[in-house]
Amino acid sequence: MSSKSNRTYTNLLVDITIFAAFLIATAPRFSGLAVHEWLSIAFGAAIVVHLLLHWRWIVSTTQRLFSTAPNQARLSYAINLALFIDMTVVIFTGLMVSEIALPSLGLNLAGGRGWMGLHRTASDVAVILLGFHVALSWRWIVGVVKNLWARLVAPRPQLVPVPIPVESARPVRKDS
Amino acid sequence: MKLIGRTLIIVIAALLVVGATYSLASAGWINTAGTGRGELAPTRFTPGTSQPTLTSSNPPERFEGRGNQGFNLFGVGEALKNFVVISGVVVVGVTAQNVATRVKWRAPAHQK
Repeated sequence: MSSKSNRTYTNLLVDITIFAAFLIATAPRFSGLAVHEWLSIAFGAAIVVHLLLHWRWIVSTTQRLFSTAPNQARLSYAINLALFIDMTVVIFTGLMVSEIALPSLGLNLAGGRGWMGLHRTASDVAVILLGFHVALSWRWIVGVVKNLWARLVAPRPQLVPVPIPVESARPVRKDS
Repeated sequence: MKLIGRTLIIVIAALLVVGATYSLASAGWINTAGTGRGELAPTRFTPGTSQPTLTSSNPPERFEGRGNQGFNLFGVGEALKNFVVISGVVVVGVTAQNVATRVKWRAPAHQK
């Protein structure tokens, strides 16, 4: 497997993990408050990894944003930027109202009801923005999954023994 | 070294957002007033009773709307709801993209 396809599969694996973590983190009634808080903090680190994996796209689109970038790339850029800002607000406000994670580290931020309201609103917006983020990458996702599926399902070529002519190791006598 | 630099850029960008949010909250653009989440609502003693009664007008804020503190299988509906919302948005987004692509391809043909 080439290093490029390895990288693509790593991206897909990281993206699926982040998506699953997002679904669990946005359901505190399901996961419980402790998992919700710790997972959300880990989610912040996962976002950094996600951005690092797509760094080339970020740089190239930023450079071409006001010149040659196609409209779809501009739309993707705008949605991704909004998602980054929104996710940062979700994590920050979550830390402001933290009841388990930060107090266990000896930190107690004076979060109020307003922070909780903002946390919920930003979280609801993140669900919508994540939907658009996935929609804009849908062709890539389908392409990679199809490719992976073809690799997994396609029959592997069977190894057929081929006779290899072996030369005699005996030294050739020179009768001169 | 390159990786550290990129990570720093991302962290700085996040800190800018945090700073802007905090500034807006401090300036009063975002209402963050209210009791802290860890605080319980004020209680008062009713004369003649030994137990303090909770004021009904101001219920405790702790874990408000966030369910209990532990894992709850019934809460899976919350995750499913978000999954359905995201799926719906994905369907709308992908359909809109396909329609836009078709319109883009047909437009030059109509111009001729």
